[in-house]
Amino acid sequence: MKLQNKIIYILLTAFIGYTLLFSGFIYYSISIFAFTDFYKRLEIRAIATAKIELEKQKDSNVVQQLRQDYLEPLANEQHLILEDINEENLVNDPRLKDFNKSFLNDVVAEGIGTYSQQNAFFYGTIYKTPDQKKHLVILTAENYFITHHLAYLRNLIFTSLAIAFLLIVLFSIMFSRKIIEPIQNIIKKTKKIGSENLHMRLEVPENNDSVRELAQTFNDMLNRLETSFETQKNFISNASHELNTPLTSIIGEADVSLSKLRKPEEYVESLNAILDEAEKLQKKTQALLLLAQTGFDGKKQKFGKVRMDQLILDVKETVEKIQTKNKISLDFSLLPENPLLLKVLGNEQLLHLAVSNIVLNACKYSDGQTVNIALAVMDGSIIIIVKDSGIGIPSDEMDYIYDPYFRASNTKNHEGHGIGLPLARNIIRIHDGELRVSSTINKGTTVEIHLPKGDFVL
Amino acid sequence: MAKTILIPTDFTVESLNLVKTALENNTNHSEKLRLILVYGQWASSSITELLFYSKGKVLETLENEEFKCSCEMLLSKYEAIIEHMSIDIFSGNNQNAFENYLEGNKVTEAYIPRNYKFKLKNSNSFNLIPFFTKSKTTLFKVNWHTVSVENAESSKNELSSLFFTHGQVAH
Repeated sequence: MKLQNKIIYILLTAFIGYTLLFSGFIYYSISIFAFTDFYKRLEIRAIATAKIELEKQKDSNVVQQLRQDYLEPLANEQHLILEDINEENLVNDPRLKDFNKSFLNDVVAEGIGTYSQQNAFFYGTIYKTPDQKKHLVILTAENYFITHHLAYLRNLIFTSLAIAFLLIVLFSIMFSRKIIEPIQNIIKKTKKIGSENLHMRLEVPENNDSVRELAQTFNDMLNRLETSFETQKNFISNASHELNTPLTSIIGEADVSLSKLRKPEEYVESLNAILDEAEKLQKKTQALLLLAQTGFDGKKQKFGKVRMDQLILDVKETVEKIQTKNKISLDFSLLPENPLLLKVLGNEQLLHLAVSNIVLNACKYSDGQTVNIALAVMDGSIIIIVKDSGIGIPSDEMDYIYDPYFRASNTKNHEGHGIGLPLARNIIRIHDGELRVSSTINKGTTVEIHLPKGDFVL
Repeated sequence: MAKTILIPTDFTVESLNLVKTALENNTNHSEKLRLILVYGQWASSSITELLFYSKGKVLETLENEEFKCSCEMLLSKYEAIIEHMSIDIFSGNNQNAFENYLEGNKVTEAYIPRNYKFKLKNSNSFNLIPFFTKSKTTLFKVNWHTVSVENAESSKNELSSLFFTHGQVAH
């Protein structure tokens, strides 16, 4: 069953059930009330009539007067009075053959009896006059209230039930649409996302509910998918292309050296060239391996406490060994006093690799100018800012900087493989962090690494 | 008694360097600091707008994400000495009103930039610096220069503009 219909049915049953119960209760109690009230009215009239008919005294005139003035005549009101009756033989009296037997028995046994037949209501009682004689008084009347008012009430309840039903159907359809709509939007968007446009993300709704969570979960999943897709997409073709270049020069060099006999110095020279190329080849394969390892491959990396200020100092040391001409300046001026705020749950080697890759890039593309690294803590997250004044990234190429093997158009004079940044981003993503790059061409690049703070206690 | 420091702001991250310098300048004191960041903006002259005027809402439209992040960074660094930090709008239009504002908030010190020009957010805003220079409160002028080559207008709001600067109180 569709979820929308399910919601409609549930709402309908609940509301209709409630309304039925409610109106049924009202109808029932009103009709009960009408019956008892009507028998009371019959009783008053029966006694008044008996007083008038049986007690020929002067105050019976007063009663008659009162009755005429204050008791309105009921519809089809009739009365029957049997004077001076014998209680044992009463039931078989031929004058009473029109009445119900059990009603008469009730009257004899309890002094009062009531019953109703179709619209006619009967009230019977034994009336004792002061001279100790017993008389049977039976009053019959039609209950106008039950025949007309109750019918009107019944009609009223049925029409209001019908209107309520319509309203409830309308309401529940609208309600279920409102509930379902965001989910259907997600479904529509998700259907559009395929392997060729994995960079698309679902819109995360503003209000904080399960739909928002759902969209976020989908986006997280897409992040992971995209990362592993990217690492694997074109991996072989790119890798073979990358590996082919040094291999070709190795083969060419060897070919040329072997073509004729040469002097030992020439052999040394060509072997050196071959060694150079082979080393390059090794570096490339290592980088490739790292990139493949850091993709989400289902294996869980070992996570532990990492102190970010220590990590940055380590990175600085490492980078200074590799890039000697750059100056790296650290800004720890906004470091918090509480060391716990600086700890991240992560893998130290991987984070070191990511940060050093970014810092190395900053050094490489800024031609000996100072590279600044700052560390700061914000509510719940740790931010590392790496700022250089280098060549920058052209703004129309910003979208591609995370593609493996992509190199910006202004990097021709710098050696590189285009693996560092995607690798760094993969690592940051593993740590639930975020990498933000902003750049102005020829002015410099600023990279912000946002990492969530680990929940450690002393 | 806590010391109250008044600092003008224009809701850019770079202007928070004033706060940073002010805090650095006061780290050695045992007393706690109360910081007030103030921005000059006239209140509307329409009665209906004044009726529903809320300082919080006005501030919300002026602040941006980076500014808030930077404030949090400063707070987490100097949480030991900051008693309270608030952002306020000054809407008076003469020197007396400003003096009253200083007195009302028990301001003991104020910091203004020497070489930084405040950017006004909208046409209702006005520059507070003339009020500061004319006031009788203890005034510190702060010089800071960014290490990086030049600061484009757009980068004023980057988180990085709070770093790599050397602010010092001019004498």
